[in-house]
Formats: sequence, structure tokens, C-alpha cells
Amino acid sequence: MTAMQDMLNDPVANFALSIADDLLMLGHVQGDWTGIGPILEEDIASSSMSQDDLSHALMLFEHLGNRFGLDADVIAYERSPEDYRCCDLVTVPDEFDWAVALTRRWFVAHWAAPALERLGTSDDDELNERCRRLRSEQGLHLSYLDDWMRRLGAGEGHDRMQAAMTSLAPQACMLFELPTGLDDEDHRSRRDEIFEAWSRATTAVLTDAGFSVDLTMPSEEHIGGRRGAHAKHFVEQHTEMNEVRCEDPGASW
Amino acid sequence: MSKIRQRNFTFADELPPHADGVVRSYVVYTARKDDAPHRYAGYLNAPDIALAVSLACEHYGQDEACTGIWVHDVQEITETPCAMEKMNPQDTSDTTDCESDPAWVVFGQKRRGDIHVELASLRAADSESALSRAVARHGGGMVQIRVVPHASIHATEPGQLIWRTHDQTYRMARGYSKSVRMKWEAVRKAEDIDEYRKDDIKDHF
Repeated sequence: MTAMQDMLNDPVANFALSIADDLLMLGHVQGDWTGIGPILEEDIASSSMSQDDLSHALMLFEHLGNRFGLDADVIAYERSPEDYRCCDLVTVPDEFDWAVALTRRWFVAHWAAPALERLGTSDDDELNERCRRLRSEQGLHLSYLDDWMRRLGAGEGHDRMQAAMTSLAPQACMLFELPTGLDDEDHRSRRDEIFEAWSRATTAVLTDAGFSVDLTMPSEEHIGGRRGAHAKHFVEQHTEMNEVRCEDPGASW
Repeated sequence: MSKIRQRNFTFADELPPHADGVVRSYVVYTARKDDAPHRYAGYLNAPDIALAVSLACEHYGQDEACTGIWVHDVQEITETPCAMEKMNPQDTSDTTDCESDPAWVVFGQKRRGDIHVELASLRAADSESALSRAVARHGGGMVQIRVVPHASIHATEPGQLIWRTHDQTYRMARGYSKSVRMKWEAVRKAEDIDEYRKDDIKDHF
């Protein structure tokens, strides 16, 4: 069995991949806004957070790489689409609507924070330390994004934001699909705890901001990205992200 | 290929950042260490001061290691004209601060074009007396003195995480220039570049 398959069969690795792949793809997709953000300051902040997301993904890939004897870039770029564990929320096309882009990132940041807390209670001290650092930095994104949510809820952008929330909510709930290999009672109850934390935190901000969104746990029958059944938009983004890598695998920069 | 790479996209309507749509300008200062003076970092626009602090953390807070950020509305500045020569204040009539007066933060500029650096704080009844008191006490060797009401400055929380702990040297302009120079030198060393240039010169000159 190859090192890559070992990794893909490991429950903790799959959980780590679900966070790392979310952040990798989110950083890639939100990067489209660099240079064209709604105001210069927001452009800079958004680009800074995209770089954070990519760095955070890298820190998790590096951990997995050390553990399974793989190169972090190989994990990031050389898996087939069905071996990515990200939720397809992260690659939903925003059609250059900032309301969609902001809401997408906000949902993911609220998932990543408690998920990193949970991943950081593993048996591996080195992984726990990485998670602690990533959690604190994702916390910066959270307070920043929550600030924007509250302001946009109070302003004339309210209806645009509400529309983005309503359209993204079903896909946001798919953040809680259990990744391949984690289909047991223990992981299910841990997942429920994260969902609890996520819906409490998001609902508090939504209430402050005057938004109303129905957030419910997806049914087990609904198979999505975390179990490898990705939407077309994920595959397109994945192909584009890997384009340079495929041209010259292993090239150094 | 994504729309951004095709350069084929249109924006949805502008998303107004604030109910009244007013964006104001703010001045940002950063401190490199906990007890270090705050140094001018730049300006930014934001709908309100709380968001200005958040934006400043993401922008100026990531330019270099940083432990604290101050932000105030640009309108809060009272300052002397920027002098050609360093100031040499002779006024000795300065009085003692009255504790019931509001507090002001004093910034100074050592040379024209230098950044403004936090020097001290003092108490004074109004901006005019704050400025003259600041010049008398701290103007020596400066070309410009600025005072800002302490109450108008919004700061990050003590101990707040601003600078990221992961390696972000690749984001630094200086890191970029170093790696580009190394690449350029590696390319320049290759003999085929010289050969190429010979042909180039032959063809074109």
C-alpha cells in the first residue's frame, strides 16, 4: 500500500484533510478577489486572509507529510479530485458578488475554528501545537468577519447578504458531512459537538445582524465533497489550481 | 479557466459598507514591541473606527512583526507646519499639567519626510495649548510636532494576536527582492544568456 493510501485510510488524517482542503481551496478561490476587492483596504485584508488560509493548509499538509513520509506539495496537488476531503461550499462560484464571497468565507471560518480545536485534542502533541496556533489565527479572521456581518446586516446591503446566506446555507451545512473513514459513533458525536458550536456562534452573529437562516445537519444519505463526491465547480477549480504543477511536477522555484 | 483569468467578469452592484455610506480616513501607527513607541504606518479608509482597527491589523499589522496598533481619525490631528530647520524652542513659560484636563499624545518628526513617532503624552485644556506645550517640551530637534486627543485613539487589546506566527517571510517585500535577485543572478550566470545576447545584438543593432 502506498504512503498516500495509508494517509487516506487514516481517520485522524481524513479529519485533518477535511480542514486543510477547505482552507487550501478557499484560499485559492478567494484569491480571485486580489486586486478587485470592493475597497482597497478590504482587498488587502481579504488577500492577507487568503494567504493565511493557504499557509494554514500547508501547516497541516506538512504535519501529514512528516507522519506519512510524503511531500506537502504532493499531498496538496497530486491527489485525484475524489481524494480531496473539502466541502464544496468553498468552491461555490461567487460570480464576483462580494456578498457571496464574504458569506462563504464566514461560514468556513466558523467551521475551521472549532474543528481545529477538536483536531488539537489528538494523541499527537506536535499536531496539537499546530492546531493551537492555527486556531488562534483563524480566530482573527472570525472576529474580523463577524464585524463585517454585523455592519452589513445594519446597512442597505442587508438584503444582498440575506440572499447570499439563504443560497449558501444548505451547502454550508455540508461542512458537517463526516469525511470518508470517520463513519463511527465516536466521530459522529464529535461532529455533533462541532455543529453545536458552529450553529451557536453563527446564530449569535446572525441574530445581531438581523439575518435569518435555517441551519440543519445534513442527512447521512446526502453524499458530498467530504466523501469525494465533488461538484463540477470543485473539479474545475482543482484542475486550474494544479495546472502549473501538472506542467512540471517537482519543479523547484 | 476561471473568469478572473479570462478577464471576463462583471461585478454585482456595489455592496455599501455602512448605512450612511460614509467612508472616513484614519491614521495608523504600529508598535514593534510591547514597550516600543508607536510609529506612523500609513493611512486607510473605513466606515468606522472599530473596523479601521481590524483593517489596520490585516494591512499594516502584517508589514512587519507588530504587537500593538493605534488608529485615529485623520481629523483629530493638530500639528505645527513642517519646518525647514529643526525646532529649538526657547519658551520656558510652560505650566504644570492639570489632571482634570484631557490627555493628548505627542508625535514628532525628526527630519522632513521621516515618519511620525510617539514621543510622550501630556494634559491640556484644548488642542492649541496641547500643541504649544508639546512643542515647548518635546520640539527640540524635531521638524514637526503633532498632538492627538488620547480619547480619539483606538488601540488593539494588550497581548492581542496581530502578527501571525506561521512563516510569512514570503509576504515581505524584502523577502521577495532577495529571492528575485538570487534567481536573477542564477539566470545571469548561465552562459546561454550571453550567447543569446550576442545574437540579439547582432540582429538588432
